[in-house]
Amino acid sequence: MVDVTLPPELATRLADLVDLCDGPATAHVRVVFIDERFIVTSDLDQVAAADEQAALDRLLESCNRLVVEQCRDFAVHAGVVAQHGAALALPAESGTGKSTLVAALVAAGWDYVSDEALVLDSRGVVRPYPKWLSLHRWSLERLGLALPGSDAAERAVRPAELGPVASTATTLRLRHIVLPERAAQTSLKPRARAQAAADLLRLSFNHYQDPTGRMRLAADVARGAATWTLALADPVEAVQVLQETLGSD
Amino acid sequence: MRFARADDVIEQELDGQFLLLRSGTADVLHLDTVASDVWRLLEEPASRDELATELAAAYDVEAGRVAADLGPALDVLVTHGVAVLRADD
Repeated sequence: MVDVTLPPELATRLADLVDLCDGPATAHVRVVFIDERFIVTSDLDQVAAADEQAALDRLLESCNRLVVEQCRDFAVHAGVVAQHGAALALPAESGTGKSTLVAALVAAGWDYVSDEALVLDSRGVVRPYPKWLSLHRWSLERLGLALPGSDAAERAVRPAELGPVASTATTLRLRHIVLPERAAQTSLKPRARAQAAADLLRLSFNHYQDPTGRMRLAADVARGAATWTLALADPVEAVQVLQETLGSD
Repeated sequence: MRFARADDVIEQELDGQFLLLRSGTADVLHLDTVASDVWRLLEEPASRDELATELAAAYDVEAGRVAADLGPALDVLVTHGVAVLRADD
């Protein structure tokens, strides 16, 4: 249940978080204004924000993380896109460029599933988590998107602004697992499926909930997927490489 | 001295390679082919020489040829706490 007195943007973005929860989820986040800046403190971390919009973005990022960790399904830190019921996951740490790459793939016609979490139910079906993306000024320029209205370094982007969003009515199966790594030149090469399964576990938010079951699930989905390493120099180039190799599957 | 599997290790095999996770930790270990073969042999505790003999038989080479691979594999297993070195009974 979302409080209807909230500002519209906040209510919409919180509703995205609520859709992932199968039951009550708790997030403790505090925002204070000290020394000309906002300090956002959560159960996970404490970050500073220069203005109200940035503080709102940081608050929602903290809520997002806390909700994903409490999700009862297997959740992995990853960007995810899909075409015709086949999902492509990009498991990666923050700062690798997966949000920008996801945005570029959606702009190229893939359906947006998430830029934050690959969520797999017990049958290995992918659950969409289409939260708003946070893109840096460089990424917005590179993808031809509107820049922030001020000196802000980044902007929250509504998924529909980029392109199609995956429908929850479509059953998504994981078809490709692509591990992006920063590199000087863009290329795509096969990766051992066992290594890809290890990547999913290493980057998971909550495999500790059921270690044996989650290891089995990671192995099962990797067994059914094609697995790759993407040397990532530029997101637009990477989309071309992915489209050429994977887009026709 | 014999190498043995540590207690409370969760394993999952995929394409002949193992994923290992020690209970109560978040550190997932992916074993390459050689380390996976060593792990498989450690279903029973074994000395370094016994492991070298078994691996050599499996790879159809002389025992001396596998030493270069066996050492690093054992180092990985012991460093990550999924294998231990125990005194002979």
